Amino acid sequence: MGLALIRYVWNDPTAKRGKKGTIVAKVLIIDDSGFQRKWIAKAVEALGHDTVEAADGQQGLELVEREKPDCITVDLNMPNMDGLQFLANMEGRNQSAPVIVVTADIQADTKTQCEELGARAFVNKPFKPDELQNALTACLTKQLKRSE
Amino acid sequence: MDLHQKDFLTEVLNIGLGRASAALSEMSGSHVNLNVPDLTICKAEELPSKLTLFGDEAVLAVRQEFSGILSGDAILVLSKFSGQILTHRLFQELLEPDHLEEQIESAVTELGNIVINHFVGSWSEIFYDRFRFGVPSYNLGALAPLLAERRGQRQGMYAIYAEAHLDIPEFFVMASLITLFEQSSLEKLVGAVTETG
Repeated sequence: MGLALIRYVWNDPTAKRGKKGTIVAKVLIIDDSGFQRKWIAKAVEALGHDTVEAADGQQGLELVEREKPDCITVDLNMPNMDGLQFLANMEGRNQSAPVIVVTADIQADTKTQCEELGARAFVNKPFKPDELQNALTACLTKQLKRSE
Repeated sequence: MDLHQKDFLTEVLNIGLGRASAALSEMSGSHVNLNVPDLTICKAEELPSKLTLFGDEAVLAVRQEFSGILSGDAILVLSKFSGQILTHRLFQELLEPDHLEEQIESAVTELGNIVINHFVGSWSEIFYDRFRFGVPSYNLGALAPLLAERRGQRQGMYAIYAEAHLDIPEFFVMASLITLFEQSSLEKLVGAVTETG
């Protein structure tokens, strides 16, 4: 679905960001913590990607429809609609944008449940920027290969 | 609770505190000193009179409910100064001086969320049970009224007040973790201790 928005800059000499051969994607960040949204955005934008932000799962779903992101990061513990509900909703909508769960919850069962609900990666807070960046790049690369 | 039970409980809390301090250390980029918690077990309504760490001073507190084989509240308490210092450490160049109070709330709430998730989440490996967490709430003010507030909401809660300090001496940061268990959970905990012999 959102994959069409992934833009190659391989042959684009006018591209302002991204290196030759890299992917520039739109990443939706869903987290009720403004502090975390800033940190995640900083790590994501350092790779040259664009970001949009939502403060809970409900807002996140609205932005999925409107912004058609290429990848999504989602917190689990949020008001209104939590991350697990968001994942369940995404599954029901047959959305293809990969979802990375970024959570303080360190429990193995939580990770398993997220995977069962379709999460492609799981990053524990506090995270080092490269942990999230590696997960994001892996998800986008895999997504791109699937569409080719 | 006999000495053996108290010893087991101290160990359970210690495991959680170890994970919590590791998370705090990673976030702050500094070494965290951790002491062995000195347990005080009492009814929740008696707790305010037993607090010694922060007295009547205004503190920053993040409270989060957890449920599972054990259910209750965990509260991370920081002095205001510690909250300000940690906010600067966490936001770094992203700090906006014009929105300092808002950013302190955001950073301290997330810090509490992470520390409490690591603290309680580590018990899932001990009890082979999954814990679920409520949304963390941030409070600024004296600690005693915040704890007293629980009386109206949950009668019969027991407080395990672990005067566990997660201190960062480099920045004079002092934090404390308070755990409030529902009575049934405390009984389960004591039962688990007894089973282990």
